[in-house]
Amino acid sequence: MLFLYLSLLDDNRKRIILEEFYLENIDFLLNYSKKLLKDKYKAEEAVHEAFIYIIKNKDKYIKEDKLEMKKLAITIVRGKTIDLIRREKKYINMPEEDVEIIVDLENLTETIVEEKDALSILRKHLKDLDQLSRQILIMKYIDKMSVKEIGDILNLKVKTVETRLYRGKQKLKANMEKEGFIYG
Amino acid sequence: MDNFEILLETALKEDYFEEINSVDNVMFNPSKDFVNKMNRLLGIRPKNLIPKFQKVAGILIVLFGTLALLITFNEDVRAKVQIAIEWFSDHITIEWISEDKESKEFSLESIPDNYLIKNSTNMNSLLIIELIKDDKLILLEIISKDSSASLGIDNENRIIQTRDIKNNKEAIIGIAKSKEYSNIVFIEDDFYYIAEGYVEVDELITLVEKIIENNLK
Repeated sequence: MLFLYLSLLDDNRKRIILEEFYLENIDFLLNYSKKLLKDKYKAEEAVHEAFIYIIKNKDKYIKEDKLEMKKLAITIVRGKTIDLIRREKKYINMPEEDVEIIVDLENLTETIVEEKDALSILRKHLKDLDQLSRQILIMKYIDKMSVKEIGDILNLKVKTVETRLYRGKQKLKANMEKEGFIYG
Repeated sequence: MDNFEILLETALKEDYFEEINSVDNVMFNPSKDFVNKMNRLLGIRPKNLIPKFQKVAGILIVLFGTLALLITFNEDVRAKVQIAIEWFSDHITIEWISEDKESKEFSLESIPDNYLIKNSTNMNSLLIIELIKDDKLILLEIISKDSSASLGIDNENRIIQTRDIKNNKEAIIGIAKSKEYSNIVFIEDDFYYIAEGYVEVDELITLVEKIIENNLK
């Protein structure tokens, strides 16, 4: 086999961290992407794109803290997976603001949520939200990413991210209001 | 953050972690193409090469050890080594290449007819382009000579040959021994070009030649 060794990562410490991370977590990341995409080869493509993104932004995403790095990598893989579906659905040429339900994925979990408190009801409505808006909310509220960072990962304009963030929250608020929970 | 945002963050976290926990952590068994692509990206040597390197290193240690003993205890050998060193010091010079040389950036002007660009990734010193022709994927890598690239060849699954091509150049080609493996072409010009795909070697060579020609225009 012809084998090329190319030192893309000039920082040797970062290269070692990323290599270790790859060997430890690649099965999980591929399984996760495949569960969303239902296709082995597309999952590989999404994970490959995620690693390219991590290398390009190595100072931000390659970390000594393995848990922190894994948390960010999972979000990036999820983001690249959603982006791949969006591109494959050929919605890419439509104005991003006009695509309301862009990624119509079934939810991975089928937890029976008891509708007895606000949290459970909100979780139920989150599952009804389109995956792109949900992805943006995850990146914003769990990973505390900026709208620019979210746009970079998902290949969306900053304005689109802001619009989807606003609309997603408004939709959830409106649904909660119907259930009797009023928020200002 | 207002009450709704606090509630939203909690709901998102619970939902997201539930989703992550539902993923099976089983062996994925990725495709060979994916493993190769990731190995290149991360600079990982294939595992089966490591024992071979260890074996070679062992042989070299024994050889150098024997040579060192001979030089130390055998006057004839020492005299011959002395002559060899003198010859090298008379005939060999070392020149340092100036670090001020200008770095060249590749710009893909056009691609040959009938090819479509599926994807391209520019990583400064490396440009990876995925091309499609007749539903067949060809991976083209264009590597700057400023980057530290090295090439290792293993003839386990491919027959390695050289072939004369246009402009008195020579291509290193790897012809797959079975359909399971892709053909590979390596050409050196102003950049290093590596083309790999499940198509004939001649087609890979022609593709790289045309890209070099187009880039010169």
